[in-house]
Amino acid sequence: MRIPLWYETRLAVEFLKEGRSQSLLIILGVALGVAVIVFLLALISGLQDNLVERTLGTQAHIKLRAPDEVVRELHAVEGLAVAAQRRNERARRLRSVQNWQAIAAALEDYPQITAVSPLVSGPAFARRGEAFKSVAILGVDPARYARIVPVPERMVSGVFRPTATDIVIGKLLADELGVGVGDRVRLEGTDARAGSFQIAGVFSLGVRDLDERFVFLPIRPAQTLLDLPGGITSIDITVDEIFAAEQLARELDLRYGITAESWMETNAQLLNALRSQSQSTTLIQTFVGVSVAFGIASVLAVSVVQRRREIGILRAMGSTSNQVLVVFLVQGGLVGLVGSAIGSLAGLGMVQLFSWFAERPAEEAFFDVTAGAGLLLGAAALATLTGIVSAYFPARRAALLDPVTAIRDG
Amino acid sequence: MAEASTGASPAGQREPILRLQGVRKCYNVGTPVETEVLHGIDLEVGPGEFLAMVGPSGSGKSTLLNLIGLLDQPTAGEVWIAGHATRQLDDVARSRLRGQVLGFVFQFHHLLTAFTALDNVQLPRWAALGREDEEVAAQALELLDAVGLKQYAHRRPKELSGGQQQRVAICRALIHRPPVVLADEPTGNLDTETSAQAFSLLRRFNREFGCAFIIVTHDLDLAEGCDRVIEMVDGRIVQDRAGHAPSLE
Repeated sequence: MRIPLWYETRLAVEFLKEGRSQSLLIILGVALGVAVIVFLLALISGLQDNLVERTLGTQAHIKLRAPDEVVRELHAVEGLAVAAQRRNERARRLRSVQNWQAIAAALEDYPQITAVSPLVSGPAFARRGEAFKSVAILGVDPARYARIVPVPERMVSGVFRPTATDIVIGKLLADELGVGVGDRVRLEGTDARAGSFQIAGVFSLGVRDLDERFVFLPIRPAQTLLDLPGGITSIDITVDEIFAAEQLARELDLRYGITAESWMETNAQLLNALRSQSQSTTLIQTFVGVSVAFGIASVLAVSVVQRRREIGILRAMGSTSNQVLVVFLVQGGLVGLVGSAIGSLAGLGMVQLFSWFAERPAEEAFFDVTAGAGLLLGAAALATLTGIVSAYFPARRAALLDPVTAIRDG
Repeated sequence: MAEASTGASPAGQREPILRLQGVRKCYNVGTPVETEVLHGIDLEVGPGEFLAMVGPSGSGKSTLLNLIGLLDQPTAGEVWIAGHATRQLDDVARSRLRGQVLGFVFQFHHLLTAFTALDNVQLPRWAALGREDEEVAAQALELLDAVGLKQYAHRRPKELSGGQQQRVAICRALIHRPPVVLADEPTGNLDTETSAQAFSLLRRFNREFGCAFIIVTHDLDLAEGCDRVIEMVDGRIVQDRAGHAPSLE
């Protein structure tokens, strides 16, 4: 079988092997650069994924709710002397999303929407004996809501199964009320509508505010407590492409005439921080990449000078200047490839070490190894390409050497 | 001193393997320090000739050898090798032709230190084929055997003596059986005994393979052992005669 560039590769490999210490140094240089890049990338993307996941772990990607009520301005009308001088915003009351059954059904048909869950939420009080706490009650369809926020996975005790008589509450709330699974709690809603419920389960979402305030009920009792018969306050949605949420929100907003808020809008600061973090990481990586490229180029430039005579002999032996060019390009590529292989492993090692020092449990590891394969392949390809590109100028010098002077002067 | 030959080859009627016509070489062309080092050389070399080129330093021997070796371009005139006019050839064609019809033996052997003796011998063929070849390897080993270096085939140049390195270099020049072998001071770096061995090796291959040899040398004894001696002075061929002791081996 004919191996492409066999001759050039053989020469490149032998040259690299012969200049052992030089090759080793530059390979280590590349490895170090790639290790830094891989480590940074893994760490930052791991941290960012983690942050986004934590943020989205407790909220819907898009929340649809009834539009805010707007006070219409009182305009001066001809013949009337006085128009209103002041405009008072109206106190906001709980309002249902109009026509929500039809909207929820229509949303199910969007291919990019993975879950739809109608929700009734509003303020209430939880009382048990002397203890009296303000809470947020959430009336949900448990099965549908579990696909938005995986509460069943976060149960501390009992089960996530709110019924007409059973509720599920947060861990901190349970602690403050001094209750557990099986105990009873009284919920007081709008206009002194109240009911007594048994606790079916206690969850911990890991967010203090939620664990302290959330009380899950089925939709109907929540409607009763909040005096919203047949209504819901919002429709929660998850989508497959989380960063496309904002665009979809705008689309839904326009189509259904309701207010759609994406997680990107409600977490604008987080997104902004992530973006600037990514930018600074990219900057660091670019500089590391450029210095690696310069390193390869300078070592190969020295190598070309050292091998002048041999280049001349190769030319006398019938090698074309292109073959000589390729010999040095291959050297650059090999240095990049081998360096990046070592560097990637070192980078991964650093990530492992970092996770170990940070003492994070395995399930919260920074770095997903399956996603890592792509990253490593990418790093290797990029480093090889960088090697080839940075080898170009030294290689060209080698190719253009005059064989006569190269052999004579060495 | 006989007059310079007009180019007629002593090899007789056969088509010359190498022909130079009006070859001139100038350095620093177009500058105030323009120097002409070869002044219109005409030369014909027949197939299988064994030719020495002598002359004082600076007489243009090496320049002429580089022109014949297609390592350099003449300022004027034409070089034909094995029937190919070479002036108009581009780099790739010149390199290919060099790899096909020319073999080089240098004064300092110039083996590639990263490769074994056997690999060094194969290099010209690798360059031409772009790959390894079992047949080439077998031929290389055969050549090394012929020069008594079979057992050193897998050693690197640094593990060989000067004479052994030069023998490897001679094998390298002959691996592709080129019709013309150019040798620049092939024995210049060797002691008398080793020089004689190397020279007789060149002679032997000249007879066995029928390659023409053009040997640039300062060693007059060695030159007299050749069939034909060309003497150069100041960029001109001033003498072109038969060797006095062509049987020297």
